[in-house]
Amino acid sequence: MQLVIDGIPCTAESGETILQVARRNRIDIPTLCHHDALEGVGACRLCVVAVRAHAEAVDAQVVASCMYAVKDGLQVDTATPEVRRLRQTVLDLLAARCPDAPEIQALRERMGGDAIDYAPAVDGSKCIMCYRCVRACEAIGCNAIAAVNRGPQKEIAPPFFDATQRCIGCGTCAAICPTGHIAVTETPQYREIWSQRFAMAQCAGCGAPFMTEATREHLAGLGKLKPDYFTHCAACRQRDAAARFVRVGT
Amino acid sequence: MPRAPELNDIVAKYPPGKPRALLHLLQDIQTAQGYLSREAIGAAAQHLGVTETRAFQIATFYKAFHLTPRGRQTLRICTGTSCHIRGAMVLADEVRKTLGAGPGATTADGAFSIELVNCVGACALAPVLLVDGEMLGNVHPGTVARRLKRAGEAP
Amino acid sequence: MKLTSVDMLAQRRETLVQRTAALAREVRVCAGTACVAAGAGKLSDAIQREAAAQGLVLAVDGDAADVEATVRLVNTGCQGLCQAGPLVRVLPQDAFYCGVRPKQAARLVSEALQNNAVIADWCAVSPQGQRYATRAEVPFYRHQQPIALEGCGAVAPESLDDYIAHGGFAALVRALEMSPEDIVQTVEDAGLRGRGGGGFSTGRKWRIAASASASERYVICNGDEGDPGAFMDCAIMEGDPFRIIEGMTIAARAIGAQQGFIYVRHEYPKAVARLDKAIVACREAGLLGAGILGAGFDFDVEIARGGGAFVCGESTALMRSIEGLVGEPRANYVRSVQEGLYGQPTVLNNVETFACVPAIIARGAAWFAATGTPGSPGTKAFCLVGKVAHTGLIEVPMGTTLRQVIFDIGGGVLDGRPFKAVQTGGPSGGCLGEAQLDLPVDFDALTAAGSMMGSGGMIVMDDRTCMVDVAHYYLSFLQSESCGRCVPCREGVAQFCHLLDTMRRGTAKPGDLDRAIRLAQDIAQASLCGLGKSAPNPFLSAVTHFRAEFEAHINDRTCSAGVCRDLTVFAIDAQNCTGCGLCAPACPADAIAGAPKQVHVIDAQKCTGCGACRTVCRDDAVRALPRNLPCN
Ligand SMILES: Cc1cc2nc3c(=O)[nH]c(=O)nc-3n(C[C@H](O)[C@H](O)[C@H](O)COP(=O)(O)O)c2cc1C
Ligand code: FES
Ligand code: FES
Repeated sequence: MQLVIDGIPCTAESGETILQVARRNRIDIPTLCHHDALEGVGACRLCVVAVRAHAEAVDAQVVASCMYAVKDGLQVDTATPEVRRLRQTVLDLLAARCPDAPEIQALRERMGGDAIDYAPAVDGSKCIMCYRCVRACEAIGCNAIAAVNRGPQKEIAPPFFDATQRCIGCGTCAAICPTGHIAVTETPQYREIWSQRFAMAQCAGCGAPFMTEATREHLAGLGKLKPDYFTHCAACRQRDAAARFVRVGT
Repeated sequence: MPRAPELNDIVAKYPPGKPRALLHLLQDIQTAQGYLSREAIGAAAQHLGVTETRAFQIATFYKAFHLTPRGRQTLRICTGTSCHIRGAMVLADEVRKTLGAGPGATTADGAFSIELVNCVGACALAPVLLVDGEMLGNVHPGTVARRLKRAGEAP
Repeated sequence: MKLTSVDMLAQRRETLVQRTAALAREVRVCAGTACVAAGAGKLSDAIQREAAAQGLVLAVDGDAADVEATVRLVNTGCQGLCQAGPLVRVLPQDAFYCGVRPKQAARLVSEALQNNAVIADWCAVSPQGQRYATRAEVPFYRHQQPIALEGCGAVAPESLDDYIAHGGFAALVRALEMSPEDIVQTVEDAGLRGRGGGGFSTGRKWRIAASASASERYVICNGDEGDPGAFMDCAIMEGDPFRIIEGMTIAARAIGAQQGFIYVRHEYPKAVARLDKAIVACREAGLLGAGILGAGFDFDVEIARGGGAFVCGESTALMRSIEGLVGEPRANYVRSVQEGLYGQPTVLNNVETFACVPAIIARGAAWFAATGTPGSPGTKAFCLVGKVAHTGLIEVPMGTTLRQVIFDIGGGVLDGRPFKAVQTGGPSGGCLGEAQLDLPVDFDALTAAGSMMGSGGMIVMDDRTCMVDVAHYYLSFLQSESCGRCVPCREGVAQFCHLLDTMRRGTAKPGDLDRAIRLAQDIAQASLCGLGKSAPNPFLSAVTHFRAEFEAHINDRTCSAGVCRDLTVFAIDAQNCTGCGLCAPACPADAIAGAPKQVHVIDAQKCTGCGACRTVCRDDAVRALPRNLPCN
């Protein structure tokens, strides 16, 4: 099907979102909660765009481009004054919530509109509630964390705000967090995350800690990875592969 | 208190492995025990085959659930629109002064848990207080203490 | 007894009607929430005791089986005039008595039930001293026209027999004779629009669901009633539960659904119990379950109790909640009519919408469309509450003006104070002022004026209601009810609420009103679901009609209504004070002194501005004055 984004005609498959089509056509739409590897949630609303049903339509509707499935003939504007203002407001609100998150402050400056300073949160955290960590944890199959409470009190936490057997300490949540909110302590012996301590497994090649024992167990249980994945760290596996390659060549 | 068998009885009323029943089951436990203990949430989750993570999420999302034990009586202050414009918040302040505990809290002696609720359907008598099931209508701030005392004494 | 055919139902009705006709009189005692709080339960017991003592055989509630009985006592759902409970209505005279006490039961039984007499000195009296011999003459009822509330306050809520005797399930029989397409067409022709707020065409919704290809379909009744100031859906569920089931069954027949759900707010235990009983009774009678009335059509209903979350009134959140998930809405870019519960086509309608359906099917589209306005046919139920003389549950033809509702039915503002505003639509609706009083009750007219029909809360406000406070009230409600998923609603509403709070406290800065307006507009545009999108309405409408009041709070730090406590102190006007002594004990701060029959004085230092003294004063002697906060 055909649609027009910022005056540029684009081709799209049914089921694609505006964001996917726009990015393929190198049209930039800022996002926060979106992640290519995860299912959309439409939580941050930074990716809003204005859409009209067809070229002659006057009524524009503001939608989240990361969730909105394209329709034939759709007219999308990614940067109307209104859309810019809404993005500005989203960032102003997040900046008040997370005064200590430099990523948000930077984005906010990049917007360059007339920013409004809202009352900053007293106990501001760096969590912008993008749900990336939750969705990643779900995708891994652990479901160790979720958004608990509701409204302004909503936060990401393991059940009962306590240690849980579901967590394997894999650290994916921390890695995918856009603001570095999820605290991780790494030592050669253990990793601490969500107030829970996990023993590290050492690489059989170089002896470096490379994943938690719990992660190793979880992944081994899935039975889909080669055995060396559980014994050697990524660097050693790469080195061994290279060595094999050289042997084959000579 | 014989809590454990009671919990099992409630849980056993639901077919295992039916995640849809989670909200219902938690409501039943709450009705029977007054609140949702960690043990109860865990048991419900296990029985219905959902993660503890989700059960805890649900228990914290819905206002109907309490995660701490409740007072012997529940004092509900209606803060529906009608009661609000007829002074419900002033009442809430008076209740806090009188009982030493505000909305969402339980008095130190465990006598009352105080809650704010939306319209209870008696707007004609606004502002309204509910002590357990008993409805007190047209409550004025100056009379809160007296009326609570009377309601507290009634068995 | 299982009714296995349409004929059996007809026979049953015939028997019941004959039995009812053999009764000489019927006395209906209102057992609605407010009347029970006023002692209706004790009254009902007293009547039964008195009847026994006087040798009068009473049939109670649905129990018309007692052939000895000459009089029936029905404990009904809400009869409407909650203000004046306990209410008693005696038929066939249609006598109507307010505020009846248990000790009056003896006279009620001996005069009104043993004989046909109307107890004249109990009848309601107009301000001009005219006595209303029948209920139909009472102004509160005279201007009403019940359709959804037809059975509420009339039938015995727990008796299937009584519902059948009142014509119940006749519409279902008609529906079984019609093709599904005809049912949809009838509802569409009737012009029925959803009573839950949005006003979407019910017929069109059913058509979309019926035409979507799927193996399973669902019908859901939305009884979440999240509006914090309304109870009409509760009244229908408690007072006439079978009507809702009949409406849902007709919908199921029209779209081809086999399973229905009634989602009821958890604060309504009585509604849950009544619906539960009604469902069981219908199953036993073959009116729910497999092969309804022997017609080869299967449909069953289950109750889903809500968990206390306003957002679960929103369609997508409600469906998630039924699925046992957290009630967070999803982006409404896919219509839930097509992909709703478990991804299947789902018709979700409000309680009142379903309650209108049986009447439409039984009496036809033209009959329904003849009432109301062309754009909004039929009637609408409202909870007429707040600072109004006659608080209660009403139902009026669409097109009735707000003025008629508030002044003719509601009897004007409480205590004769000046009218200031009326709020409709609950937290998604808006406030309208004096200038809008002649607007008709109509979906489009109210929306155009910046409010909305909503589910039916109608809150009357007098000059002692502060619009800043009201706006703050709704926003703080929405803040705690936001699901918390999207930024504009979670963070925006909280900030917005904070801005309004500073206005209430006299700490707002110039320019804050404009900021609040911009934030309001942005929240409305950018939010994920209907909660956020409509959250700013109460504020925006209040600013439109009462801007000066907001400015006075910010610029002068005054609250002319005397509500915002940080801005107000009270003083007694020596001219008016009669020294009656009502105010001093009402003051929680012990700030009032004065000897009996002497002018009282309020200690401004001690006064906390709560206004309790002003509420109790009958001589209009308490004045709200600005507290004159130091400049910030
Ligand atoms: C935040 C929010 C809360 C709602 N609450 C209710 C409610 O309590 N009761 C209701 O019937 N509809 C409520 N609605 C409207 C429903 O989403 C839905 O439109 C309605 O139930 C459809 O029924 P109707 O077409 O018969 O009106 C709410 C909508 C939103 C956005
Ligand atoms: S990126 Fe689309 S809502 Fe966050
Ligand atoms: S608002 Fe309190 S009873 Fe209705």
